[in-house]
Amino acid sequence: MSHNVKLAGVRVTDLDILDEAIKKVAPGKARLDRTAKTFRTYRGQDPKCDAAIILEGSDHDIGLKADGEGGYELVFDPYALAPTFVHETAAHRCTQLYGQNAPTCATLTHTPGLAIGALTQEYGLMQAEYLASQQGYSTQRVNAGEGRIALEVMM
Amino acid sequence: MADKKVTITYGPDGTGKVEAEGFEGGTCLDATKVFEQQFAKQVGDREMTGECAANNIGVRIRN
Repeated sequence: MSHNVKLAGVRVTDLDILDEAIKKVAPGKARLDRTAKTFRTYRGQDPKCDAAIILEGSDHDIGLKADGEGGYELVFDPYALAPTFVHETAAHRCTQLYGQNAPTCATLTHTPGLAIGALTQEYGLMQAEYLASQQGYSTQRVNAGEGRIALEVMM
Repeated sequence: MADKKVTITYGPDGTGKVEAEGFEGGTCLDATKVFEQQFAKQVGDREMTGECAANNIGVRIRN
């Protein structure tokens, strides 16, 4: 049954970096609306937000809700969200399980983080690179296998 | 003196793991703190293991 979930473990604190991550992961397919007060989601679910990621060609968006500590939590309906930000690792797993033309994937609905994993991963990497550069440290991205990317910060 | 390095590993589901090496004593925890603050929910306690390692930080779902 469709409903909103809130990724409480992922915290967005920099909308400029989020904007850059969206443009890198899904160029032309999504955009950040910093003025949005509602987002498109399943009927009956709370659509209020403090900003939103608008998915083009979709009838569902990702809401950003202020957490009261200077950051935002991500809220969305994983059952109906377009696969714009599905990580390629999850997409491959879905293809293996359900075939090339599967419109939905039970794997993703049971693990909502995978539904937008490509975005949260890139956002995390970009923000860490920025934090490291602020302190004068160099960084390097390393493929850690199984869809994981490690950022090495040399101090 | 060994090079100091912090490694943050990001999974395809938004989870993260922060590790540090080459530090002395508890200084590694200071080094990792700024990167740990990216994550809203910490799983388990921060701890030093061997040279130094911070704990996994995972995603928690709430409806």
